[in-house]
Amino acid sequence: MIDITPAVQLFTLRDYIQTPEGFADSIRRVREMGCDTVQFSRVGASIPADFITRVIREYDMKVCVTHSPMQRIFHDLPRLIAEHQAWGCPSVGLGNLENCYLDDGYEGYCRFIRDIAPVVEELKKNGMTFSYHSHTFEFVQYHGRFMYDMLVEETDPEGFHFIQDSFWMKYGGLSHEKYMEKVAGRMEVMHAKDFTMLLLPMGHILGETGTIGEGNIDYPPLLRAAARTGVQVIAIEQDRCQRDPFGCLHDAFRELKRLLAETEKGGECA
Amino acid sequence: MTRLAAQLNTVRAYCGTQEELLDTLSRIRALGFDGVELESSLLKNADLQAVAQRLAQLGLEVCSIRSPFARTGYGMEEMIAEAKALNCIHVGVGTLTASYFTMGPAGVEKYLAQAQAVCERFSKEGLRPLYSLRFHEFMRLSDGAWSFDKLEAATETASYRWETDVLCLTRTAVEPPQVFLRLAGRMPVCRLSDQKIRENETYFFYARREECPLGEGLFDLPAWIEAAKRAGAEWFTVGQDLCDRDPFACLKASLEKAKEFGCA
Repeated sequence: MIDITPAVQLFTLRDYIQTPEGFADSIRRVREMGCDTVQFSRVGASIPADFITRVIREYDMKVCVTHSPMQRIFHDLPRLIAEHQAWGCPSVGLGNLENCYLDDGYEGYCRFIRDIAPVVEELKKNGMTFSYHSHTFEFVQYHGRFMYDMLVEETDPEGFHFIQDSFWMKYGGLSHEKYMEKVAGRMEVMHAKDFTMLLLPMGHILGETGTIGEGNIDYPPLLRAAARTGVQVIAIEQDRCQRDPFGCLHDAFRELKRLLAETEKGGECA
Repeated sequence: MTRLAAQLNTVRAYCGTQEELLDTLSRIRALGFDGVELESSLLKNADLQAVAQRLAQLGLEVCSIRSPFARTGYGMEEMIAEAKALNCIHVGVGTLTASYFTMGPAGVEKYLAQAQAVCERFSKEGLRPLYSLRFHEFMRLSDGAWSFDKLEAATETASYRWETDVLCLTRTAVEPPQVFLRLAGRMPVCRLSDQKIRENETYFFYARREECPLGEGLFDLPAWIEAAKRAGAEWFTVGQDLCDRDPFACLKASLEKAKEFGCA
């Protein structure tokens, strides 16, 4: 058995968490699934932070990490920290690097590393970390170097942490286990979604995010690597659902729990 | 010991006439390849005897001649003649096309019935039919299985062998070594390429991926090559459908990296 907590990434329910009522109902439904840990992402900006705090306390829900707007990370950090502390959330995360950096290529990545350093320092002072969620585009190369590797090598290992995503690593054809080893000790939360192949008109096939257990990703080696490298939470996510997203999350949660229970720890990297 | 072949499709722009094709074969040999993977479409303007003669002069082997499955319906005798003229044992019989897999499990059964007859014909001629594994075989059918599961289970009776392609396999999220393990002893050809991320072409988080020479991209090729060798691959073929620079330079770069990664 692998001792990692399964969680729900609320990005999957983004259409349902834009109002206070929708947020509260979604948290209730996730709790009723048996899940006690969530990640915040795209939570309605107009929902008061203390309302969110009340709801998660009411349902005894833990918050493992957030995806917070970049604007707030750079320009509203003290309030962001206070909100996270009220939620008991140890890490402020960024969902994706924005075009203001990406459009500048190598210089953009260098600038981001410089700009985020004081944020990381401030979070560390408050006993927290920054978590960078990657996709595939960070594996662009400049000067013979993957930008993801530069993020790993030129940031503070204590304060700058990572969230890798099973789908996006597969989309790039990367060895996800090797990249988990690269960030060992710097990734408490990992995203898990499956990779399904959908048949489109004219026989075209689309690789799409899917419910865990319904696609092609072989999870046991990833779970073993996650356990080996210090992952504590695996947040289930599905960017697009072909059916009711609550149903997708329910099925994915059940499948992930089964996989965690049945996969043996240890062993060589697969 | 495995050998290295160039995918002729990479330099298809240089194979338009017989003269160009023969010159291209010379250039491929000069780069250092042991063999060449041919597309039947690139042979249509060339005299087979002239090609065979040039191959023999160069000491260049043909690891396979690839054709679409449809050609087995109208061009079986030509396929056999090509293979024998060029001393090539592996005859590519294409793949399970959309006209079959869009019909679900019944479509796969229909394909297998037709493929069995095709494979028996090639086998009678002492040739090995080679199935080109792509990515659509890993789309779940209505019964939850992959087409690959059904095709793989049938190969014992269909007597075909497998050509795998690492780029195609990465499109499925299935780990190439897992597929190689399942096909151990039945996978004489493994096609290698690499993939990089294109700068500033990301749409809704989907980065644009493009082929590149071996070693310039993201694939864990040393591990995959080792797994393919353990599975009994006889040939590694390298090449790209699209090149961002001179295709011969791409082939050269891939050949050098393939050797460095332990291909031959």
